[in-house]
Amino acid sequence: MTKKIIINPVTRISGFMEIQADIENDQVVDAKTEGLLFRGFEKMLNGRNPLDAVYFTQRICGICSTAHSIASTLALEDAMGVIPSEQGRYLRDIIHGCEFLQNHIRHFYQYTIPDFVKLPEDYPLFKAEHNDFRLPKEKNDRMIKDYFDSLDLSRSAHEMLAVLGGKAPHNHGVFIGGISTQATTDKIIKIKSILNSIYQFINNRMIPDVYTIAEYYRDYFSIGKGYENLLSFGCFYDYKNLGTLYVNPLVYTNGKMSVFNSDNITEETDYAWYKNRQSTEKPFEADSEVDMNKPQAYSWVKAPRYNNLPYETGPLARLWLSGEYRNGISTMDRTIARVLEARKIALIMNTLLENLTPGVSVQKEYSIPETAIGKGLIDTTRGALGHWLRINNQVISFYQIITPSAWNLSTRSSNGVKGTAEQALIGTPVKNINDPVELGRTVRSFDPCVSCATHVYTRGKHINTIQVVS
Amino acid sequence: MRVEDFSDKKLSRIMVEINYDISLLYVIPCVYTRNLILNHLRDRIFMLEVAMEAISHPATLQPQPLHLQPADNSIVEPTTPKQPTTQPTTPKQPTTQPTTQPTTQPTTQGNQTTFTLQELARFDGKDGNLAYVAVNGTVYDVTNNATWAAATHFGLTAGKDLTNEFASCHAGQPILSKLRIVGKLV
Amino acid sequence: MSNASITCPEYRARLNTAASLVDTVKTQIRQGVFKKRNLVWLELTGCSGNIISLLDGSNPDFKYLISNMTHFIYNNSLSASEGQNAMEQLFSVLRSDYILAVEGAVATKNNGLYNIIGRFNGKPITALEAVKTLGEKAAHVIAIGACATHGGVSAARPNPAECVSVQSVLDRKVIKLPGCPCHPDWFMGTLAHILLYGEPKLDSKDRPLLFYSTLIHDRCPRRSYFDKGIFAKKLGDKGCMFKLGCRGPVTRTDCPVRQWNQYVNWPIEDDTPCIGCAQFGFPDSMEPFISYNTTREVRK
Repeated sequence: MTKKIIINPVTRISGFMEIQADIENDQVVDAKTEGLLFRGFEKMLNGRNPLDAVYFTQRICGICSTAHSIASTLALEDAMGVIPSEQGRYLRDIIHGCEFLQNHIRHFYQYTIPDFVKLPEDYPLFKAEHNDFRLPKEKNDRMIKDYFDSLDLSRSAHEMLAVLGGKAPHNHGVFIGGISTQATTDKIIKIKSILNSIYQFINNRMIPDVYTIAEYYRDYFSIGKGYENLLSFGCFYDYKNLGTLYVNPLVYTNGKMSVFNSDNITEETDYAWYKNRQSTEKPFEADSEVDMNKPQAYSWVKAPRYNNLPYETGPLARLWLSGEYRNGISTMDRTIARVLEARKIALIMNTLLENLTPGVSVQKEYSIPETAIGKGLIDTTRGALGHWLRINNQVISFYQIITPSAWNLSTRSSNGVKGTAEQALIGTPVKNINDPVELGRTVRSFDPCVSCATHVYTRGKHINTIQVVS
Repeated sequence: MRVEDFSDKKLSRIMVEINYDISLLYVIPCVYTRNLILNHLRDRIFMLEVAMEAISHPATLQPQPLHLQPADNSIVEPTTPKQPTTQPTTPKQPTTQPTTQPTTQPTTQGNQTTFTLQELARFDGKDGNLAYVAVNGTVYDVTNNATWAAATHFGLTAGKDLTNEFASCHAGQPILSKLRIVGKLV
Repeated sequence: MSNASITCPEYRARLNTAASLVDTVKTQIRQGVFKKRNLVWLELTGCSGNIISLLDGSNPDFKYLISNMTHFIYNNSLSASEGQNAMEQLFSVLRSDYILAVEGAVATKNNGLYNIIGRFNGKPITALEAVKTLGEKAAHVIAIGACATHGGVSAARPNPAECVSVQSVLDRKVIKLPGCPCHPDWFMGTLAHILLYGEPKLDSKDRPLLFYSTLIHDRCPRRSYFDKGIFAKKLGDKGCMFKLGCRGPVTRTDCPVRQWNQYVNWPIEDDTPCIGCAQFGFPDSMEPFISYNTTREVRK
């Protein structure tokens, strides 16, 4: 007998999500992930001053706002033919690194830990109903201390960001050409010292913490595989003098590596509530016209595909593609990879800081072209992010965004192939059908950002028939 | 705004925006947002008016030399920042009308400067042009008015008659007396 | 300024505002005068950036907030429980005294189905329904961030989800803390005032005068450049950014003195113009944010 589980809200993510899973013989046999928030950024951006897109798109997401400012800046640089200087790139990428650190620390401690660590219940916020807490008291207590202490470090990551970016969230510094202001010695040393304390925390406490969890929850190395296809748009790569500090644009399919080519990106709309001019569209052809009567559609998240296949993107993909982590692909591997990546980013930022020349101004007076077309593709905190834009009459005439969470949490495509997270849920054993903790843990390992994934979509008919678990 | 600005494409775009604003007005409950949309609507309708004017009287779009002598009754409040006098003024378009900065001393020629809507439209604060707005028939210079950064103010652009917008937002407030008068709207 | 101290009174006041309120709270807690109150933080149709901003607060910080100032009952980003259990926790506050903090606008299209915040007993709960239900009974409602106070970016033209402000759907007073995001001090200070003395003095738009009284322009360190007509031509310049489109002259908040992220920096000091994020009308009325082609000749 198939039982249906619905979890809504999936808390400790960015945004609003529902998981629906069909359970047979204590295993997930079918799963759907639904994003439940829509605002419509692509429609909003039409008609606006192109330079404003850098600030406007930041507001898609509060925890990864820097990511959007950078992708938007890259798309504008592409469209306007602006080539930033290397100093400008270093400065901008340092700001990007700060956002990575903030996100990864908060995602591990505030979003992930409460699934595995019993936090003190005299805080109503930490009241949890399930019993699957396996850590012995001493280790559990250590984690609680680290949960609270980590708040200071993730806050410091944003403090570092603000030193160069003006404020966080929603920074001002990232802009075409690099960043707005100049590095000065006092800013550089301030960032360096904060970075040092963050690095110490990651190295001495965060990494041991994630391996402690891995030790007691080994079953999660076999849960949440997905398709094992990985994708990266490139991250901290291709510097003139420093080469690639992290990972180049690469793809891993069926065990083989290949170079990433952005022409092979398409989005499918067969199971999403849009009019089909053609069921597969390239990013520049994307059309957001709604069709709420489409029979088989069940969600608003489109299905981004590369060579018609669904891909996973994020810290695990990056570390895999750079060759630094090859332990496996699973819920636990994803979580470990995110923590290891935090250390890597801290080291990369240190390299960039050491290559800064204080007092270099990278800004110019820019004029907006009459017409232009550009795209900005970059790997960021949650994975691969792309902004595609057109300028006409000196204003934005088209804007399309594909976020990492759209890749990871996509819907099915026309051949019925599920999205990556949906596939990852298949086969998950559910021990207690009244407290299916395994599902949330797996989905959270993707670090979902639903405010990002559903920015373009209009909500339509809601699925009415719900069979709550009997 | 120039003749080329009123192409079919641009006009139909303006119509699309007007219609969309109207459909939004049906559903927006918040008064404040409604007023913003009404401002936007007024702005677009003004553009249509100028377009109609341009189409029916194409000759008047030829630039005429302006006598940029401020009237005697121009008021320069101590708080209003002085006009920067250092900027070169090579206008972008070959059909030139003088965009020299007026000096800060009012002349006593007695000639009141008049502006038609088309002439006012050139003072949109772009391409190095000054920023003028008209309220109740008087044309004011807002080029260096702090609230008109980038020659825009809460979604409004310069070079227009903003009588109605002003009334809906600032009625009764002592704002106009602090602005520098540069002429009359005819 | 007196010779006795070279500290600027503004600077001192800024540092002390939130801290002195919190000190009073601490004393009162010890004296048994002060009680922690229930706090619910609802995220609605927005980017959830205000809770991130809250986590960036210091003195008081988030730990202090949940340990000493409030029983923090529910938040979508932080609550350990999920699904039905989380919803039960959320709605359990209706039986008691609580303060409601809301961020994000309210999507109203399709009766609010554009933003579902959870399922309670199987029924999807829209943001609209949640804020109405919880807003009615709350002792105080604080709208945090541009989207909650006036629609903000969620309601930007053409507003596809038909987002509106929190006040538009509630028939009671809502304290408004605009900002994109709202500075953690503005929230913490307002909350501390409520806990100690009740509702703070509000201006005609329901913003606490404590934080939103003075224009940025009137406290801007670059004001003398504006007055002398020395203007920046591009980002990164040190002059006044009026000609680039700075909205400091129309934005009322204390960014120049309080600054951001442990008081290290703020947009103007970062050599970018203010985009008016803490003023009603953001973003549509504050655009264009960056303009090079204005009343100043552009050298090509």
